[in-house]
Amino acid sequence: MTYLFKFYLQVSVAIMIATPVVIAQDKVVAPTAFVANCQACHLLNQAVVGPSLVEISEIYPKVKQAEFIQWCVDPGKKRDEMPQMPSMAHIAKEELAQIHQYILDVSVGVEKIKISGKDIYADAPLHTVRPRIDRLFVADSSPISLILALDTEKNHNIIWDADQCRLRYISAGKVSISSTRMGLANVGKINYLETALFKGNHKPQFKGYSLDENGMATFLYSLNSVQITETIELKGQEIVRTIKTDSTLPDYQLVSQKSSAIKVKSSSSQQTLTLTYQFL
Amino acid sequence: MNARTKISVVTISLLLTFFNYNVWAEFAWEHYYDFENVNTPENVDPQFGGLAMNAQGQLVACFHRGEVGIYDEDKDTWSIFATGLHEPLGIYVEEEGTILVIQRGELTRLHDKNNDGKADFYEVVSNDWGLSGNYHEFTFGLVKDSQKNIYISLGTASNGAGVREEIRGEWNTIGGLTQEMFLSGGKFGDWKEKKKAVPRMYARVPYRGCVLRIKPGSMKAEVYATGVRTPNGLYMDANDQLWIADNQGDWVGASKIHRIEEGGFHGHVASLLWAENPPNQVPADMPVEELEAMRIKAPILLPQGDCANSITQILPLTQAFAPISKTVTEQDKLIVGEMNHSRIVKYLPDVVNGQHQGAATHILNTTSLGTGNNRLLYSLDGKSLYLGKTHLSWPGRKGLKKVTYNGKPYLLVESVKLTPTGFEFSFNAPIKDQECLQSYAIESFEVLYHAGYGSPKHNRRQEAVESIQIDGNKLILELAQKPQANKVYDITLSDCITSDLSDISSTRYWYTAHAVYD
Repeated sequence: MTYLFKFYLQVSVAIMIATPVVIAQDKVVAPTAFVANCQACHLLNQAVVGPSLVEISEIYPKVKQAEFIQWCVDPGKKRDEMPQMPSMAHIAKEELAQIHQYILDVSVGVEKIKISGKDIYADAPLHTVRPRIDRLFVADSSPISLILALDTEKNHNIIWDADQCRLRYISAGKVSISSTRMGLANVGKINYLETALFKGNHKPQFKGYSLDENGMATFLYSLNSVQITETIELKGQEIVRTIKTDSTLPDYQLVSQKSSAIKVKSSSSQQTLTLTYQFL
Repeated sequence: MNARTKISVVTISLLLTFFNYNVWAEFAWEHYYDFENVNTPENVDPQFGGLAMNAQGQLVACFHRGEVGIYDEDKDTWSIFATGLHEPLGIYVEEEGTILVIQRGELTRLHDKNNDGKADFYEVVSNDWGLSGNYHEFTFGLVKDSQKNIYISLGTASNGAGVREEIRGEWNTIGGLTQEMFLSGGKFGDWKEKKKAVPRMYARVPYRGCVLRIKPGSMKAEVYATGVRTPNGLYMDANDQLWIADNQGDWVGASKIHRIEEGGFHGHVASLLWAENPPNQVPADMPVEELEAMRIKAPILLPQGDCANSITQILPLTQAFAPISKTVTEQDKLIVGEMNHSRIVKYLPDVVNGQHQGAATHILNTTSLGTGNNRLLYSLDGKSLYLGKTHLSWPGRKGLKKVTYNGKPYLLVESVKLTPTGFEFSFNAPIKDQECLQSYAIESFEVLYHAGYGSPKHNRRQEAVESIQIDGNKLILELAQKPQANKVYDITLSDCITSDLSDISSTRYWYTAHAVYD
């Protein structure tokens, strides 16, 4: 009997140890609505998509619960580096009040953590190798622009507009953009600006581009019925742009802003226009 | 230890065992699925915009910063196939071996003409839509139908920002909204003030907010349907029915799965500017009653937060990946990814008086899954699901997860059908309800269709359960008040429902009742 009782006691203790116990603690429990709607963007003590709970508790102490609820229902936009918070109007105001109380409770005695905002992929090889093509929003060109980043000493970039099918400008400098890639890329200083080459009312249609083994591009497009290939080459201190048509070259006029950094000259035949951009 | 103490220890342990019976008996997804992290390419930001598989069984993926990579799982190696794309959000491997990618401004076909493993020709398949430069104008895709037509969907612009001076496509001024009203900075003024005069989401360049079809050999994009907001998930089923996942916001009270009808208007008003007969006023100013009469309702609404938040790609739920009865066709249920929570939404269709509707629930509701699930892809044998994650500027994660079903059957609900007096749940095995402390709960509410961002749960009401019957593999719920039309029923089943297979795997269901039985 004693043996059996001892055995049963050992098993019972083992069960007690192995069984997770949920008993009342003084731990703060997140309301269900917080878990469903807020937790993904708001961590306890570090900012991710939205400010941390600790920061929110500082902005909205107990006396500002009404303002907190109002913000949740109709969020403003105060931080450029953070996305727009969506409305929480689908949550009942009583639940928003509970969420506010939870935020205050869970933040007591907790310090904020500051994490580095460094973009670890900004300088990844695929985004720094030259030559390469990037497609980003850039200033002074259409939203469909290709950046041909050239392997030159000053990091020249050809900004080629795939909507107008033409070179828009040549800049010099590193290409950089925020990690979200939703704003304008920085392509350095504009060295040279060019207006549309071909006269007349042409309807450009971009057809694509091929890359050679060195990563340099040949653009394909049409101007009305004229099919064009445009090859970009780097030859020493010059960019050579060869525009070949499958029929007769349309009338053209080279109009560019005077530049102290780049000098351009042109030559043409019946089917080909060659533009040479010399770095000064 | 004296006898009294011994008895106390035994009693306490028995009590704890009893109270924690649920913990031991509780369903755990990890008993049926293995979760593993898959390596991603070195030095590539692992935010996935698209996942596909080539004929060799290799993963083909596109990434947020413009790369296309190919993964050989046997060798655990990635190679970079293409670079320089503009926010690619869909990828498709064609029979010929070429790869289609949808970027913000272009549908591109990638060729590797010299077979060196790198794309050398980036062909424009189509670029026949507008781009204003607004940050929110994403372009999603892509799927093909049995005739090889390609479908993509265009997101709308957000009044979180304006547009650029140079745009692609002609600006639509219907209602007197000129492009200048959407320009900001410098001489154009501060956007915080200007945004007050424009709708929350807008579609002023062609064909934002529309579903586009591109026929083989054509560069022209046709408007196939209108009325989507942020349609981040397309699926073409075996019957050439297009399904699209759309995200909560203005005019979209809850994220939803659309069953797209050709020529149809699906609810988000901005894209009406590009309909065959556009209105002569700002669409957001049209009477709601008129818009309500025009729109095709999405079969299923996914209440914000509770059910889903930021939904993504749609796939069928296959018999290789879940213990679905052989008699149930795979077209009968869809799954959709979600960014915000560690779970997948499952849609169980129903049709009432010709109206498509049905129920949503969760599967793989476990932290092992992780959040940020943007693109989903089955393995060749269908037993594994790859989940490519992203976050961009919203809640989410990075990386690639692989979830594999171990084949062990578990209890799941295969259909939820509306009845004249309640609901009928069909399970994949006979069930029993070991009554315990948890019980059934049902709440009904309305999701509003309006210009406001999202929707509160309108007219919330706790529904009394009249009776619960179990008959083999069916559970029949009768409500005290018969179901009403145009409501969502948030149903929590008892978590003591069990079977010889397992305990119940998902207890919460949201039934969208557009129509009811008399």
